[in-house]
Amino acid sequence: MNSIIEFKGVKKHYKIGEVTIEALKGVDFTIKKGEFVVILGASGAGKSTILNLLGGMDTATYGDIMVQGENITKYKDKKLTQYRREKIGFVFQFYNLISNLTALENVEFASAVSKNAFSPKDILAKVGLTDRANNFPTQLSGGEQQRVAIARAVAKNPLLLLCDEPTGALDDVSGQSILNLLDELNRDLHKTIVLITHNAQIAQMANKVIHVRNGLVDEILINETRKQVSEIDWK
Amino acid sequence: MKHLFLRSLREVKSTLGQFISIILIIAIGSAIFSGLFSTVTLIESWLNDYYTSTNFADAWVYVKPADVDQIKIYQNDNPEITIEGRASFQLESVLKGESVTYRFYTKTDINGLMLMQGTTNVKDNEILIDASFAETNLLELNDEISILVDDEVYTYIIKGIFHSSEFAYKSKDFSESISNKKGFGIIYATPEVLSELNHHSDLYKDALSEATIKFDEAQVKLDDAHQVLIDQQADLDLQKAQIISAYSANLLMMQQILATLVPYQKLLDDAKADYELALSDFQIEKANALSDIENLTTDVFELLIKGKTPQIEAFVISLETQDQYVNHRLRKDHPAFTMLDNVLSPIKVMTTIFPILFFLVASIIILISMSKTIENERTQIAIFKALGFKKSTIRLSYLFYGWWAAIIGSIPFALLGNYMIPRILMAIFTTRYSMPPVPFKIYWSYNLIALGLSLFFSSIAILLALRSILKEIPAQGMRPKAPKSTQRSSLERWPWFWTKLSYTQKLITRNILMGKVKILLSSIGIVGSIALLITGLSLRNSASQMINGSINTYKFQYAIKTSENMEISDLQLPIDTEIIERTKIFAGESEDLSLIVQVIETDEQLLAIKDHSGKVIEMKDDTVIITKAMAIVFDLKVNDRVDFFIDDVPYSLIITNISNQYLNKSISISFTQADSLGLEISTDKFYISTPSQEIKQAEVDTLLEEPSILAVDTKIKYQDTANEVMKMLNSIIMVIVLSALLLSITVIYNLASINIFDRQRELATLRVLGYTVREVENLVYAENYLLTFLGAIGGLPAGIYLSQTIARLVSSKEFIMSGEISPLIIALSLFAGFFFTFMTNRILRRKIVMIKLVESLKAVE
Repeated sequence: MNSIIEFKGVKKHYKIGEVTIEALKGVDFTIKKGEFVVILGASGAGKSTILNLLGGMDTATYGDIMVQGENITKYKDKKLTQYRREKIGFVFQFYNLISNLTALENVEFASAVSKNAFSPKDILAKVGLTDRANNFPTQLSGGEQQRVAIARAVAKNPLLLLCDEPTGALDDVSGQSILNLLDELNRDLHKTIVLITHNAQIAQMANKVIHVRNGLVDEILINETRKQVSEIDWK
Repeated sequence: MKHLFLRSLREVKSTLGQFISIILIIAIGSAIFSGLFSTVTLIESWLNDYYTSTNFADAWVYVKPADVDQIKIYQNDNPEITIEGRASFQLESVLKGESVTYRFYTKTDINGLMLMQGTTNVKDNEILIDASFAETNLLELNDEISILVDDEVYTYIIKGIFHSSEFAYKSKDFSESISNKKGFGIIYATPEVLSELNHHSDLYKDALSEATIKFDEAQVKLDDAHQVLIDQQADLDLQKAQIISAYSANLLMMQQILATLVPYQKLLDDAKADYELALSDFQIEKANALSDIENLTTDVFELLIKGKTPQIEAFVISLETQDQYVNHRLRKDHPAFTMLDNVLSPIKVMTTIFPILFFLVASIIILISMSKTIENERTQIAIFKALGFKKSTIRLSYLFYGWWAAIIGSIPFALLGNYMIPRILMAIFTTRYSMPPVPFKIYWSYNLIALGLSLFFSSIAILLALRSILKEIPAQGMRPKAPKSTQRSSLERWPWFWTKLSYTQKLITRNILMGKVKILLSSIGIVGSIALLITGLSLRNSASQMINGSINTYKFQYAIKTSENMEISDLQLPIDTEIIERTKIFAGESEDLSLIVQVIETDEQLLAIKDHSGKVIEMKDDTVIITKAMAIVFDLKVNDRVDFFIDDVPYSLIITNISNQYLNKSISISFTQADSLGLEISTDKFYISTPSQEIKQAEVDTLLEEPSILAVDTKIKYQDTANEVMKMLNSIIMVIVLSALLLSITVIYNLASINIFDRQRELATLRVLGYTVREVENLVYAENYLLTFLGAIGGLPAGIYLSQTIARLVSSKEFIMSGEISPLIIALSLFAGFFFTFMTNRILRRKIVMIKLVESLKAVE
C-alpha cells in the first residue's frame, strides 16, 4: 500500500516577541490510506502542531508535507481552504459545534461545502443520534456533542479524519464510545484517521503509533494486531 | 488604587479599537452638544446686545402727515413713551446696470446705526449706506451714487457704511420673500435731502396736481366774475353816455335820469369790492395750500416708539380717535426681530434631538462593549472578589475605563464644537441676514456640562454592564459560564418558509433572535441614522421644490422695467425677441398677511407655472392660480374662495389651480380678469424671451441703452437669490448626512467588531470546515445588512416625523418647506443606509481575515 501522506523534514517555528520557539524540529513520517494513526506525546511535544499542519490550519516553516503527491506547504490560503473543504474532517477536543444550529443542521451545514458528501441523516444514524437530530448542542451531553462533531467531520467524506484529543473532555464511558465509533468508521468506511492524544492506552487501537517528544519523532511503532476498544485495559 | 488605575490603562491598550470608537461617539455628542448650545446662547445674547446698543424700536406707528410740532404734542401727551418721527423716501433706480431700490431715511436715536466705516455726520450731498448693499455692490467710502428721479439727476457721496438692526433682514416689501442684499439699499441722509427728494414723491406730486387743478378752476371762476363786472360797468357806462347824449339840451332832465343809475353803479361798485376781497382771499388760500403741500416734503408718516406695549397701545387708540392713525407694528412682529426665532428654531430643534441621540448611542455602545469586556473578565472579577476587594473598588476599576473615554472624547471635542459649530452656523445664518460680525466666545459651562453628560452616560453604561456579574459569588464566577440555551425561532413554525432558508440564513436568523436586546439597542443607532438621512434628503427636496417650482421654470431671459406704463406694441426693443409678455404686481392682504397679486397674460408662456404633477397650468381669462405656499398657509383648495384686499378694496375669487410654488404667497390672474375686477392694468414691467434662449451681458447693455428702458433683470438674478437659500440648507443637510454616516459607521463597526470577537471560535470553525473567507465574511455582513434592515423599519417613521417637524420649524411666513417624503427619498435613504453598512463591512474585513484558526479553536470553553 502506498503512502498518501508524507512529512519530510518538517519544522515549525513560532516567533513570540523576540523569542523563537521551535515547535517542530524536523519531523518525518508517512501514513498509508486507511490507516488508523495515533500520534502520542506529552503536552507541548508538538503533536497538535503536526495535526494543525496536516489539517492545513497552519503552515510549516521548513520541509514538505506531501498529501496524495501534492506539497501542501506550497499552498496559498485559497488552496488551503479548498484542501480543508475537500480532504479534511476535523474533530476537536471541545467539539466546536455551531451553537445556533441543531445536530442535523451542524452536519448538513458542513457537508454542504463538500462535493462527495454522505447523507447527513445516514451519518447521524451511524453515530447513533437519529433521535437527537433536532436538538441544539446545548441540549446534548458532551459525548453526544462529540458524536455530532464526528458526524460533521465524516459527512464531508474526507480523505483524512483528524482528531485532536477527541476524548479529552469526556468521561471514560463516553470517551470509549467515541473511540469505538472512530474505530468503526475506520474499519467500515476505510477512513484514514489521525488521532492525537497523550493517553498511551489509545495507541493500542492504532495501526501505527508515532511518538513525539520535544518537536521530534521519537519512534514509530506498527501494531501488527490492533486491539478493539473493548479489549483495552483502561485502568 | 494605583494598580486599578494601571489596570484600566492597560485595558485601554488591549481594546484600543473599541476604546477609540467609544471616544469618537462621545466626541461627536460632546461637540454637537457644546456647539449647538453655544450657538443658541451666542446668537441670543449677541442679538439682545445688538438690539440694545442700536436702541431697537418697540413699535412703528404709521400716521397721517405730522410735522415737528405735531410730534411734540404727541410726546407731551404721552410722556411714558419716547416718540421720534422720521421721514422716508423710496425709489427705483439703476446701479451698475441692475435695477435697485433705494430707501432714504433721516437719522433717529431710536433704531440707531452701527457704523462700520466713515462718519455719521453728513452734509446735504452726502449719505450713509448699509453695509450689505455696499458689500454686494462693491461700493466703498467716497464712491458716488447717482439717482435719476423725474429726469433730474442727484449725486451723493458715500460717507459712512453702517449696519442697522432694523434692517438685519432686508426685504423691501410684500413682493420679496427672500432677503435682498444687492437689490435693496438703505440710505440715511439729512432732512434737506429727504425734503428735496420728497418733491418727487407721488404724495407730493398728486397733492400739487390736485390743488393746481382746483386753483385753476377757482381762478377761471374769478376771472369770469371779473369779466361780468367789467361788462356790466361797460353797459352802465354806455347807458350813461346815451343819456348824456340824448338829454344834452335838457340838463335837469339829464341829471334826473342819470340819478336813477346811481344805485346800479353802487351795486356794481360793491360787487367789485367783493371780487377784490375774494381775489385776495384766494391768493392767500392758494399760498397757504401750496405751503401745506410743500410741508408734505418735510412731514413724517412714521413714528418710532420706545416704551411698554400697553402705553404704546394707549397711544395708538388716542391717535385713532383723532383720525390720525394709519397702522402700527410691534417689535415682536417686525421681520428683523422675528428672525431671531426663524434662525434659532431649527438650531433649537437640533439642540434637543442631536446631542441626546449621540449620547444615547454612545451609552448603548459603551454598555454593549463593556458588557463583553466584563464578561470576558468574569474570572478576573471573581478573583478580585476572592482576594477581598470590595464591589465598589471593582466598579471603580471599570469606571476608570469609561471616564478615560469620556475625558479624552469630551474635553477637546466639546471645545472644538464650541469653536467650530457657531462659526459654521453663523456663516449660514449671515447669508440671509445683514449683520455686523459676531464676536465668538468659549462657553465653559457648556463644555463642562458636555463632560458631565459624557461621564454620566459612560458611568451608567458601565454600572449596568457590571450589575449581574457583581451579583455572582466568587466560586461561581471562577467556573465557566453555562452556555446560553438556544431556542427555536418563531419563524420555524412555518416550515414552508424555514426549510427554504440556507444554513447561513438559519444561522443568522437564530443569532439575531437570540440577542434580541442587543439587536434592539444597536438598532437605535441605525434608526437614528436612517431618520437623519430621510430628514436631510427631505429638506433638500423641499428646498429644491421651492426653487424649482418658483424660479427654475421661468422661460424668460430678461425682465425689463420701462420708464412709464406702456403697451407691448409701443416697446422699442433693440434686441431680437421671441416672446414678450406683460406683467403687473399688486400688493394684497388677507387675514393680516401680505400677499402678491400678479397679473399675467392669458395663455402666458414665459412663467410656465406648473401644478403639483409638473404639468404647466394653462392660463385662461378666468384662471385663478394660488401658490402651494399660500394654499398651506391659508388652508385653501381648488374651488375654494380666496378673499383679499388691494388698497383696502375687497376682492373674492374662486381658485381654479394650485401651483407647485413654495416660495411666495401669491395669486396669479389674467389681465382680462384684473380689468374686470376694476384694477388698473397698465404696466411698466415685461418679460422677454430671445430666440437664443441665452442670457447675454451684451444684450443687457443694449437694452439699457434704450432710453425708455429703466432696468433689466435677468433670470440669473432670481436664481442667485434662491441659491442663497439653497446654500444655507445644503450646509445644514451636509451636517445631518455626515452625522448619519458617523452614527451608522460607529454603531455597526462597534457591534460587528464585538460580534466577530464573540464568535471568533465559531467563525474559525467554519474556516476549518472549509468555508472560504468570503463565505464567512458574507455571514457577518448579512447580519449587518439585516440589522440595517431592522433599523430602517424603525428609521422610516422616525425620519418622517423628524423631517416634518424640522420642515415645520424651518418654514417661515415667507416660504414653506413641504417636508414631503417621496418614495425616491425613502429609497435613497435606504440606499445610503445600506451603503454605509457596506463601507463598514469593508472596514471589518480585516478583522475576519485576521482570525487565527489555531488560537481561536484552542480557547477553552
